[in-house]
Amino acid sequence: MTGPARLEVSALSVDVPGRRLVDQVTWSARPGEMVGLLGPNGSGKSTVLRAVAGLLRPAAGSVALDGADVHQSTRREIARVCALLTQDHATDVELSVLDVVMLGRIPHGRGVDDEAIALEALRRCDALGLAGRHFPTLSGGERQRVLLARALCQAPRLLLLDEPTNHLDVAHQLSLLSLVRTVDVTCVVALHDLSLAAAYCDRLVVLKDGRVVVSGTPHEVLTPDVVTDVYGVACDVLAHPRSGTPLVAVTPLDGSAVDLPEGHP
Amino acid sequence: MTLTSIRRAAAGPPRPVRRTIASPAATVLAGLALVAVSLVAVGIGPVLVDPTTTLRIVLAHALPGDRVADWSAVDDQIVWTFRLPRVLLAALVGASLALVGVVLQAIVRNPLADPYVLGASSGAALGAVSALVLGAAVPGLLVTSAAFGGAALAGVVVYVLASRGGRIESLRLVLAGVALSYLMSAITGWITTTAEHGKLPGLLFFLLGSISSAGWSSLPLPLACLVVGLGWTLARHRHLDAALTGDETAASLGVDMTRLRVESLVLTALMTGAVVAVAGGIGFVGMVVPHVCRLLVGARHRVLVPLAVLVGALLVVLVDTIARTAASPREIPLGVVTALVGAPFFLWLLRRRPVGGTA
Repeated sequence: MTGPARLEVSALSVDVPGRRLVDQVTWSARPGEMVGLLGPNGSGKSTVLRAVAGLLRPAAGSVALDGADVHQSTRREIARVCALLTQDHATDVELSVLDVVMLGRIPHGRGVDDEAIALEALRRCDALGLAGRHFPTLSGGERQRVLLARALCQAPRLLLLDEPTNHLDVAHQLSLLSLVRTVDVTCVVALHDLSLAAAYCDRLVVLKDGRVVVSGTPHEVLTPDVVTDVYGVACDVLAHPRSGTPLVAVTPLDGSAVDLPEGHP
Repeated sequence: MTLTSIRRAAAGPPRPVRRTIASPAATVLAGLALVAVSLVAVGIGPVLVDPTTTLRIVLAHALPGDRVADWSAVDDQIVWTFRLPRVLLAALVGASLALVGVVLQAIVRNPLADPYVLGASSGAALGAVSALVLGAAVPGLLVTSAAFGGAALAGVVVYVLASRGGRIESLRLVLAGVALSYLMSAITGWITTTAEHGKLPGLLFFLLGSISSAGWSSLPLPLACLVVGLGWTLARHRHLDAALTGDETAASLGVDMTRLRVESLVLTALMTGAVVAVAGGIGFVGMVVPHVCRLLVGARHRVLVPLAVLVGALLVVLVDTIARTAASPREIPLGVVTALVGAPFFLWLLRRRPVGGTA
């Protein structure tokens, strides 16, 4: 099967010994959709992504890709459909960039055009010039582009990104998410920046303490009430002057940060 | 964009420095050096035989057909019966230890990993020493099997200690291996101090490492284990590459890391058991050789493994030649020489290379 996958997460719960990290979350991503996972630190975003990728066994509930249960599949079967970009990738991998990208072909077995696929993935990520570089010498932005190229090299139908814009400057944040939008794939992305999520995602799922608080389009989800409830900050939601997507401006609940230093206009 | 133009662009100006030499060249060079050094090593000893004669004697024995022998029967016997099996065993031991090092360093993502760290060496030594004390002869099937059993048992115990809920984590694997090694070394030491005096030389052989008793019959076991280990490693080279990126990433690339670890523990226990059974404990080769080769050609296992196997073989052939000739007619234990050569070299390497930096 080819083309973007349909993802259905039903009543998913994930435990670590003595604690429930994710509690009965239900949400879905339609084929080709980009879904943003939002929520404060520790709300369960990464845990949900890992469970969807089959890396964590759920205590209850299920994850289905086009109707097939992920947790009944082998590692290789999952990796042929689903690519995951985690936050904590080893940086000291003593391989060339091209070799790192070619790792994405592992689930598909050996193929004569593996190198061509890897080079094409690097080109799409605007990282072709890095192909011969030694991976540990890359800067943070270069590394994210190369790792995204590896994820694309996996030819996934579902792309899972765990805070891919971490450590990137604004220009690289925009170019990375714009690039992801051009790929014909279903995408789930965990993000911290609410305005960025609003600008790039079709729908948002907001988590708090391992539960889904609300889900829907950015306009439906990003309201001052929701942001205040989930993050515990005061919030104004404006419209982006160019695109009209929600722009979220936050201040502490007690209002202290709006007291500007003396002499400030 | 066509493929050619993509390739061209990839090879374009921003191609930066990667201080590794072309890998096929390194491998071919190491292979040639191994053959040359082995031939010379066979000729060196109390009776010198020049390399040409050595080569002709070896070919005369190895190839079918009659040849006119213009060398003495003594030279023939020295080369074919005594020195050649010893040099070949040295090569097998070095190759196996280097391969074990490469595999273990990849699956535990720890540059310190070698046959010693995961307990296989001390397990094999404990097995062999126990068999000796209980009356087995050196070299003998009983000692060989005991070393084998000890390595395998240590592998199983480390695996059980390191796994929790069906998963093995690399840090726990290293810690369990180190702790178990200490325990087994202590028991081995205790057995040694309480053993009869007549058995001490045999015990020291296993503790310090030596291949002075090598004969043709010593070769099949380590050779078979090396072939199996090499076959597995080359079949799994991409999975070992993926293992370098960490458990979670490797798993997301479709690699079953627990299965990879179990398979590699079994195979490394097999190879280490075979090495210790025929050569005793030889340190540093399994740790240093993979490092050096990684500096030369990078960490890609398809390239790294053949080179490490050849360099490991070359190193032990060289070191054994030193061990049997430097203080002639006495022999220095092989393990002592590898440590004397290996430790300073490793420390130099450590100083030369910025911590956390790149090769």
